Amino acid sequence: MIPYLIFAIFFGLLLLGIHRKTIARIQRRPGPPVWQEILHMLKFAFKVTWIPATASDTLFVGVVLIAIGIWTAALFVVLAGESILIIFGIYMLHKIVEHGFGLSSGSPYGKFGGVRSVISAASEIPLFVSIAAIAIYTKSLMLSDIIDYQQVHGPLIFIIPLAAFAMYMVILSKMPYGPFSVVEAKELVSGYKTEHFGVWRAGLEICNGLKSYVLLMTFVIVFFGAVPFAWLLLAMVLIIITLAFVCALCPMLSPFDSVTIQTGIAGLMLIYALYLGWTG
Amino acid sequence: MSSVGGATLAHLPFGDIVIYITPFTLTLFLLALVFTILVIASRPERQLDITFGADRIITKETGLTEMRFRRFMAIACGLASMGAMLTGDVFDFALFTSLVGITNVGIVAAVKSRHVQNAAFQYGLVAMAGTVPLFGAAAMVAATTGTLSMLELAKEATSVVPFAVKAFLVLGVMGEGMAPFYAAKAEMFRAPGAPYVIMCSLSSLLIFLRVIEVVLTV
Amino acid sequence: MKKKTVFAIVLACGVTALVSMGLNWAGIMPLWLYETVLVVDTPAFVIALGLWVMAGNADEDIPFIGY
Repeated sequence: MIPYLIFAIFFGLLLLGIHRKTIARIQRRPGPPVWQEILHMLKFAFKVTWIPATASDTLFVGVVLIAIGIWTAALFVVLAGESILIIFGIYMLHKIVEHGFGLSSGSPYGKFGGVRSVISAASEIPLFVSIAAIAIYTKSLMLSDIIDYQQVHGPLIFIIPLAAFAMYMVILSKMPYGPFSVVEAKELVSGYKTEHFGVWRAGLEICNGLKSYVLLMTFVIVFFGAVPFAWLLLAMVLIIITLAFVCALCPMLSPFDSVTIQTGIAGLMLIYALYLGWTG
Repeated sequence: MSSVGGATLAHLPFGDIVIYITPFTLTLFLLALVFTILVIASRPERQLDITFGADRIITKETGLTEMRFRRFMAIACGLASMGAMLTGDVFDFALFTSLVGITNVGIVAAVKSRHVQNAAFQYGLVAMAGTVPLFGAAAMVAATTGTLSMLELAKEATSVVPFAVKAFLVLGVMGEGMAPFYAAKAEMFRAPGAPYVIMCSLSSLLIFLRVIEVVLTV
Repeated sequence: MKKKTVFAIVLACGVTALVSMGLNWAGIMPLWLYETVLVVDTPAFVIALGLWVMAGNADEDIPFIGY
């Protein structure tokens, strides 16, 4: 498990690097090397670090520990084939972590990042719809049962494509430089992570690497089934490249537009789930 | 459907009140516990504010009595969330959820600022209105199925609880769990006290997550 | 925190994680317990390692509030 955990952190950061590089190439910039996010994490770990004078010390440090802890747990939950609802729970708790990052420092920029994180809670509803649609077909939310179902009936992406789209949107809303990344918009300096620098930021980078790995792996397993490890990694790279296209070509929305569009998508998905429930 | 939150690891039958633990409820319970410990251990931050019209920055302090009351409410909120995560009884779930609503109003209302108290008042009205569908749904579950135990209801092959009752339960939880949206009002964050404000959002999120499991299980 | 305390945390977390890996490999420790140890150890190890190797200490400052 330890080697796998280390691999997941570094591969997740590499995925974020590929994401950044692809965006740059689409926008005709050279962009940083693909391993830039890994260097970033290492660089921050060696920097001078302190806790801001106005911060709530315990919370300031505590959220960093919780951020890494919950995504480590999420990785193990996916590997064990446990309930997808736990991944959903951890994904939503990441919102509280962002909130904690933003509020704990006393910085006005962090504070607004945290507030935006809470108001964009609408982005999570499509995930619930996607889970409801899966439950209607597989009659179980255990990842192991979902994999078994797909071995008999074929990949779920062909059976419930709109549910896959809903989950894709959820992953997109957590991607940096995307249309929905209002929580770390540049007008807020770095949003919720403005005051977490040095070692704290290195911890946050590790959390981001793990988060990308876990979310993409869950997407592949839930909608394509159990695939060989090399194919899994390749599928994750391909998905991150498609995400990079969306992020490179869509401007960042204003916070209100972001919430409106996410709510709109959530509404459409609810109708879809009700339709599936009615006919299935 | 019985495999929503994973296999049942343990259950404690206290007469009719059953507490059951699955990997899902255990995860949520532990998170509520960790954040409650954080609330106990941390002191509120001092928010920085820029004074308009002057080249000056001020930090906001939280008074001791206000801090004590909000901390008490936040801890009560943590305990209520933990209860709501573990209970296996629809009525108890409704009870813990309404307690989460009350304590959330308490966390917010203790701040002596007009804007914050306005938001707390509005949230209080929504939370109170939310208790009607919430307890109504619990009563209707008992009336239609004859039991309130989630474990008993999960044994049925197809759901015996009508769809409208489930919708009522979700509506009730939405009323109680609206806290983050009121807390997110910029006015409210003029109130410092990050550890306590976070408890509002966390408890609301946890009851939302649990109600999904409850609705899919029964 | 002092460098000595931080190093003690690094050592404690590293050793417990490696011991649990060994015990799990030998079939003595169940997988769920090994994973629980890692969930607790990983964040503490990472942050403590960073604090131990970081460039140096500085006086605390107020948050950034604009140029």
